[in-house]
Formats: sequence, structure tokens, C-alpha cells
Amino acid sequence: MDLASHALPSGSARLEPYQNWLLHDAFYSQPRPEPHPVAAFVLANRGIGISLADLFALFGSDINDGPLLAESSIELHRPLAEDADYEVRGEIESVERRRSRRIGPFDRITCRFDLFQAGDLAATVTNVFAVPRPESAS
Amino acid sequence: MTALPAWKLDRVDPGKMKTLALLLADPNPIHLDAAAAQRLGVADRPVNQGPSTMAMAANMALAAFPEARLVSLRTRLLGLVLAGDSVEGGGNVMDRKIVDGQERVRCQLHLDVPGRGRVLEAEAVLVLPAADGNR
Repeated sequence: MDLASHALPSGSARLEPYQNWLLHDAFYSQPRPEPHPVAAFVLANRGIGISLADLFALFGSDINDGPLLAESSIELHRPLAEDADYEVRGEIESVERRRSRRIGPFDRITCRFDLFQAGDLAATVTNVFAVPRPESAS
Repeated sequence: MTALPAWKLDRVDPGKMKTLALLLADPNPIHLDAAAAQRLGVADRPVNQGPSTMAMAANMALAAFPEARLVSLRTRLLGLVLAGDSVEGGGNVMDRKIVDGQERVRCQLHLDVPGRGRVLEAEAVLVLPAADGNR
């Protein structure tokens, strides 16, 4: 299946105040009402309408087979808020076959997630995964 | 080019990885279970989640500009951060610009694990609060 430009099922996520507190703490950050900037990653991950395991299955991989998050970009178009609903829309933007000395052949898969709050674009998260492709499977 | 203050985290806490696994809905056992990380040949200790390492870079930038708002963070994850590691960071202010009446600071950042080398490179953009009288 050609994965490039493949739209992912949309969904939604919300950061409850207690989750915001826990997330700051987990991120080595003093808890406060304003979410940590990297909360956008968490909202995208949890809000897209496909589980992480199913996303890697869509890539033809398994979450236990060592897919790596190689790059990530977060653009905050407005401040994030706790206790607010975010609609998350996403797509697989591109798939490129590469080779590295460390992991051999791999696919560099770029996924973009847009977070909307009350209809306005609040944040964009772009993740690049390195998915190993053993020679026999390529 | 101005250097950012040195930044350090003394110890990566595996308990925080477990909390983050729940908040991320990330079932990957390498973040939870040292035995799973060993069995998969990844590491001998739980592996810190990528977004947690990214958050350290954001924390470093916000420690240098405490009143600022981070609006962009672009990261390359270059190596694993493991439970019990210490992490050291540094970086530079690359430029400062006024955009739409707001001062924007662009920084290059890096994080290292002593003994294993560089684990993250990043670029962050922060918006500084308006000076009194400019609000």
C-alpha cells in the first residue's frame, strides 16, 4: 500500500488539569496551569483516531520491533490550554527509503498532526519515524 | 552569538517514564520494563520516551528565558537516554528579531549524556513578553 498522503482517522483529546499536573511532573517541569509546550505531542499522540500500535501496524511494523522517533517538530500557533478539547487530524506526509550503518535499510516516515481548538489551528506536530526494513522484507 | 546557561538533569527517573507511558497511551515496554528492554536488545535499562527528552530541551530554553513563550521546537533525536542517566545541555542564541511587534529569539540547543555523547539537537523559537509600556 502506498502510504504517502494517507489520511489518518481523526479524533480528539483533552488534557484534564490533573493530567496537566502529571505531565509537567513527568517532563521535569514545575506544574502550572499552562501546559508544557511538548504537551502538543501528547495530545497529538492520544487524540489521533488510531492507536500507536495500529499506526505502526499500518507502517507494516510492530511497536515491539524497534521503530524509532527520529525527529519531531512542534509549532504552537497559540498557547495550549488545559481542560480544552482538541480535534486532531493527521496524515502520513511522505515515505522515503533510506539506509543507515546502524539499522540498515529503513523507511523514513513523516506524519503530520494538526490540533484544532474551537475550530482554530492551535498546534502542528510533525513526527519522523525510522522504521527498519530488513533486506528480506524490502 | 550568545551562549545559553549550562543546564543539567541529575538523574532520569524511571517512575516518570511510567506516568508518561499512561499519558501518551504508549504501550512500548522498553519504557516500562528493564527486562523487556534487555530482551529486545535495546538497552539494559528502561529507555526514556522521545518526547520526554524533547521536553528537557524545552525546559533548558525556558530556563534561559523564564517569561518567554516557546512557539517552535524542532528536534533530532540522536541517541537513547536511559533510566538513571544524567543529562547535560547547552546551546546558543542564534538571532533575535521583531516579528509583528514581538521579539522572537531563535536558539540552537543540544543535550548530551556524559560518556555516551550527544542525544539530541534542536532549534527553538521563543517569544519574549512585551516590555512594560509596549503592551
